[in-house]
Amino acid sequence: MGRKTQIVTVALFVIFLFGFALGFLLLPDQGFSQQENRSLRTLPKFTWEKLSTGRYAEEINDYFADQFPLRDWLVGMKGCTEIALGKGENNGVILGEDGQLLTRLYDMLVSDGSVRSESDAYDPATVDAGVQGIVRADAALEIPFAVLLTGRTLDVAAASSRYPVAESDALLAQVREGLAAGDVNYVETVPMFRQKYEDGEYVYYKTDHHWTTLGAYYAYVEVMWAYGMEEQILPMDAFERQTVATDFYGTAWSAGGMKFVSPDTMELWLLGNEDSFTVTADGVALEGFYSTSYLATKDKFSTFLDGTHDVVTVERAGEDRPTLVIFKDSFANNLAPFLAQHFDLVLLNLSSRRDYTNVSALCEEYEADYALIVYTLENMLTADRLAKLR
Amino acid sequence: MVFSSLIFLFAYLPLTLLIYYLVPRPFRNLVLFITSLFFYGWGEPVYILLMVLSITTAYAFGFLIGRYRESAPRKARAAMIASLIVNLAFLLFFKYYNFIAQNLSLLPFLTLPVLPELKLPIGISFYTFQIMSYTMDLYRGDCRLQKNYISFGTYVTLFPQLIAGPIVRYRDVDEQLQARRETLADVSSGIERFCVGLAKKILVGDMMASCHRYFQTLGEQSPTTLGAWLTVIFYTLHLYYDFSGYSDMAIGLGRMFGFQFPENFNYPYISKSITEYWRRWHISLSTWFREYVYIPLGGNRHGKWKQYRNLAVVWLLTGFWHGANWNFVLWGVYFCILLILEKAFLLRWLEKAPRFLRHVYTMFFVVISFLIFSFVDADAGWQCFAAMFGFGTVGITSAVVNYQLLGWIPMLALACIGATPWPKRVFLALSERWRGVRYLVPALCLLALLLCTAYMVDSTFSPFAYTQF
Repeated sequence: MGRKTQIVTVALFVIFLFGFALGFLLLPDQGFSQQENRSLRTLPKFTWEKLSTGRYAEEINDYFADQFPLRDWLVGMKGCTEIALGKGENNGVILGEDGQLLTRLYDMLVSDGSVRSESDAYDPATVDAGVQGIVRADAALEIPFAVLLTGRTLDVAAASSRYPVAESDALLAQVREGLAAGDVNYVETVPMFRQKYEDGEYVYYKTDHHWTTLGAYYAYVEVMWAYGMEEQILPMDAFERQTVATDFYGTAWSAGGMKFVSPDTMELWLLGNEDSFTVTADGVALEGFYSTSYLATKDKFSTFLDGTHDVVTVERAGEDRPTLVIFKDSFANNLAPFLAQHFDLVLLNLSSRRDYTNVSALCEEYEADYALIVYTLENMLTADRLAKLR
Repeated sequence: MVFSSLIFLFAYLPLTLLIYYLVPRPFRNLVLFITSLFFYGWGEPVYILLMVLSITTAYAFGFLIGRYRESAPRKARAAMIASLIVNLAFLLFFKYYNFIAQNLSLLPFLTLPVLPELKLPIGISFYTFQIMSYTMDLYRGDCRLQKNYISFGTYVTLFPQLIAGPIVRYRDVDEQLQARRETLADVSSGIERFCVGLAKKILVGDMMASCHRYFQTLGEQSPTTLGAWLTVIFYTLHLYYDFSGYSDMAIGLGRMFGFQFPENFNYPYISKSITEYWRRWHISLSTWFREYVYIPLGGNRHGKWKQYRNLAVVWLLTGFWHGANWNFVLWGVYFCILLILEKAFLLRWLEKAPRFLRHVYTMFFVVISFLIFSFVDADAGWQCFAAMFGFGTVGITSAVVNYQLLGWIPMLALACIGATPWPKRVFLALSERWRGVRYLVPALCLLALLLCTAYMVDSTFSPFAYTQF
């Protein structure tokens, strides 16, 4: 090889290495990553003890990676490369038709307690343990109790990718049969959502794993039917649909690194009486159902009920309404405003570090007239909360 | 520290290069010695002491060997053996104690305590073998006594090959330790080699690993024949790209500092027999065992049966060297049997067979060897083996297996082609035809670096598979 080429090779290498190194040194540290929705690591404190255990090295590694120059841009570049290689997905997120993102891989919980990361298989024994937990809770309750296990985008938007739907169907069948055998009032929504999705309705977000406000409305209708309250269902046109964001990028977008897909639109459905409700989260009063300050951030879904909290309550002053206790994950957050039109609500976060699995005792404590589970199928495959219900 | 980390590439390496080329020549070994200790101690500082102890032992015994090897060979021999015993004792204790304790405790009258906090020091198998090569080379008179502690320490700790080889024999770098010239040609070819290795490891090896893990998990839940084959095939590709990529990076980094390390891989997957495969896979390890175990035992000079015995010793040790677990021993025995069979008659048969068949034969047994190698849990390994031949499966394939495979076909094809000499040959042919093609080299290096950086940032963490050994 010629001397000139050698010089160019060495020069480019040196510039590349030192360029990023200097960039890291000179650019100020970032505090929060909007894209990843988490705090970035800042310079760790040095102690001799941390150094000797290797902990300090780990923290420096994390710090270096978190504050690396052009981090978001590089993550996007990796996503594009994966798509260019024909994989049709990145980091376990499928790129479906029309920019639909479907999270496919997650950390599967095996029934012996071990975890298999990045898998789309599931352990039928884990599912069965969850089903049995629900059946146990059902047997311990004497009030109307309904169970809504929300579908993953993979289950609902199946038509948008070539990912085989058979796995979803097998999982749904196992859940359906198990709950039927236990005589549980199961609100099955996946076939309905799948149909609506195929009909072109915007029921699940494209870049986020949640259902849209429209999807939440359909879920509300199903829950009302499950309690035999179908006559009280508020019709769709009773609401004023207000678009509050047209640039919503959700969780699947963050994980998938496919920066080229277009954002979602987010709506609030207003009835006009929203001000008459008192909403508290972990004992602190909220401004209402909607914490609109989140609309200015990336984490827009936290607009609904202020994001993640352990206990959220909704009441309407001066009225004696039945109390509905919801054992839930985040899918209940945009569903709750609909149900609040009929019930006083207590929402207990099943995914919380605190234990809200003692359904019968908690229903007694909150003087529940109705009880509901709103929990994602994905969480059923990756966590053991349902298995602990009683 | 590992090469495929941001902190290595963008903090450690530029800084080390800078200091190395700024200091006057006499101090360059010292720079390498200190920076290498830092490299090693970054994750596990405590084990620096162990390594320094190993180095000091071999260095000190070296003086005894050097003094007596002419005048009193017996004393020199005793010093050599003492040095080897001390170093092997470290290896034996830190790598094998728990394994030995667990297995001996199976005997009814014996209970040895298991020490769960005993962690394997990274690279101990590699650097112990390097240290031993110095002791034996010195005893045999193949090299001079190294009086300079810094130079000897540099030989052992040299960060490019410290944690995963190639295992450099002392006599191969003896000269380079005293006097070496870093040239522009070396540095630039070292950079090329490093970029190739980094791309092999990150862009191919890690991808193959994730696909292997995927199929393995899937197989635990719903085993299929195709899925089982893909599990081991992706593992076979993963290990080649991971390990040979690492060796490429080591050789490349060595050149950046003026060292010439021996080659470690030579397209092993194009072999036409297992004998040939072992001349192409992890060459520095096979060379070490041949040089320091097989030939001293008599090699093939004392008849067929003694040769088979010697092979058996070498392969039991090779297997055990790879890890403190029975599957590695089994893996060694497996290759031992294949090699003896080939020496006895198979090679003669194979020579008459069509080329294609010889490739299929070799790759079949290589793939099976990686099945043994990859499953530490014998039951899971057996289940996968059975599934490969249609036993205990839910079908030949499944919709999910097909889905995953379809998305990975382009990458799989690239990985298979990349394991042959063809890409290199085509590139050389093209650059002979059009002179401009070679100007692509720096551009390709830059592209590889950029893509690897993107993948590293995305994953933030990607440990090497081969450093556990």
